Amino acid sequence: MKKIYLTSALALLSLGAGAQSYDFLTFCPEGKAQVSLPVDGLKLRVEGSQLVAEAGGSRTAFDLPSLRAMFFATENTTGIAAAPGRDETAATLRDGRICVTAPAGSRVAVLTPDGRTVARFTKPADGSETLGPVPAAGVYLVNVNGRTFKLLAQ
Amino acid sequence: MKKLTLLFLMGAVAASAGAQRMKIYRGHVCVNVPAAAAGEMTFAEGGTRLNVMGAAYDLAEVDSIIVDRGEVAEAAVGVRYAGTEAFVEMSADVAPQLAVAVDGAHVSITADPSLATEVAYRLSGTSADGSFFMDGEYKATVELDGLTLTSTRGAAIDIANGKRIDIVLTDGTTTTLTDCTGGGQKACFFVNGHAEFKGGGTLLLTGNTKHAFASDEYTQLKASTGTIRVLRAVTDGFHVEQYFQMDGGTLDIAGTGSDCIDVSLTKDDTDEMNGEVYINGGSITMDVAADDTKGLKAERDITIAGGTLRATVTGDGCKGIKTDSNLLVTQADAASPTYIEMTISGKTYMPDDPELESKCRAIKTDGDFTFDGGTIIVHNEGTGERDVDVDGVYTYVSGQYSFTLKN
Repeated sequence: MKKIYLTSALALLSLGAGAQSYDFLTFCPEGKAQVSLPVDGLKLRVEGSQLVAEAGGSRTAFDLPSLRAMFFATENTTGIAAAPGRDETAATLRDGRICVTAPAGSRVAVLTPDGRTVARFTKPADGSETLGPVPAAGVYLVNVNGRTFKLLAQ
Repeated sequence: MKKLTLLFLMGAVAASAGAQRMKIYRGHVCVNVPAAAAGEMTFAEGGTRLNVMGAAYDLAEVDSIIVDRGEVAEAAVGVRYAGTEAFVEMSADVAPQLAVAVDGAHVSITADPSLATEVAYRLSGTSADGSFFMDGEYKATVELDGLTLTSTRGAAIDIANGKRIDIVLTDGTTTTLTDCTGGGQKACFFVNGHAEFKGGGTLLLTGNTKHAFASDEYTQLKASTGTIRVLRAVTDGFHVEQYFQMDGGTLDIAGTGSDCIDVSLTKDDTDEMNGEVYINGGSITMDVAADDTKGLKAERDITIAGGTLRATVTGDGCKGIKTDSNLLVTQADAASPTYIEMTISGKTYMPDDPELESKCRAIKTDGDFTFDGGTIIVHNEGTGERDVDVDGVYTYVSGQYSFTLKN
């Protein structure tokens, strides 16, 4: 009976842990450092030329004409600078292999949708790096410095 | 008990760590974006537009964007009626291909011809002045989830989509649809394509202009169908083109000004089973009260192989079952016996034109009638006529019966 309870508890935990959880919404102002805000209770509104983000009593305003993009992230990447040429972060699939483009020192993780880790490493150099062939057809989530790319290998 | 509590707590923790979603609100329309699929969302045109999953949102029209925890089902649209308003929520994967218009509680959704995904539309809530219109060129599902809708403009539900439309009656719910009087609509609930009913819920229909339900192609009631009740119709209860097939469910029709179930030919001679009726299971109850009308009417063959059919035929010149072609009554499965019981009491219908004189019958066939299994009981309460009138050949093979025959 003890084993059944333990197995069930572990199964339940892994069920929750398997679903990818994005705790931050990261904003990328052009030429400035990224800003990550916790997503719980986050509300965005347009006020004039600003995008105002409010949550838990705090308020952050972004100048819309200068805002390039935003994305859900698993990590707080506030302060990561958008250096010219170094902000080119991408993950693509080529001939069944994942290709990651990111600056040196970027933290890369390749996961399946149910949370299993396929690869995890720190990029040794700037530019693109091609990984080995993907194990099987399906969806892969490539997380680079908290920013996730969704790839479909067929 | 301590261990069970621990398990429940762990389950609660796991459940609460659900997926995040972003909700983009524009007026009465909300687009649900699953965080896992959002990817990079870019701002364009000087920060006036936000691009998300293939759709460009004019930020001047965006009221707010909220992030919360919740699942986003793929290809899903929810329409919730609330009095004089209606609110539409749709998943971001199909939002770029759906044109949504909301005018008070009148909702119109048109899918782009490029959409090649089956969208599930769930309708719920209540409005005394609302409607739902849907068009597209790919099959779709419309789920009626306890909806109460009265339209003052036309049909309550008008599905112009000419493909296969699954109509799901949510288990345990009752949906009530009423259309307006004096409108141009063909029915209170209209399907341009082929309608396939399923789901154990209840559907109540009132047709105040013409038919209660109409389809321009076949209609099927699947075995899982719950209850469909026509409360009133100016003309037919169920008006179906091509064919009508019933495998289960309960269909009660009363208060019609014309036929209870009328199945007619389409204009395309190549359409399969054109003009035919197949009753394989379930229960039909018909109140045929208006003069010179029919309970179950078909331009081609009627085959009853299972299920129960009851009719009260009181109008003058009425017919319980009428086919311009042949009738086959049989019993395919003893587990689903065929049982037909009719009470006829109407007199002969005698309009000014004697050519239109019509006698009250339980069954009338212009072609042959083959009886090979099941039970047919007719109670004749003084019509002065034979119960069953067969113009073609009557063949009895097997079955139990109690009726008089004119052949």
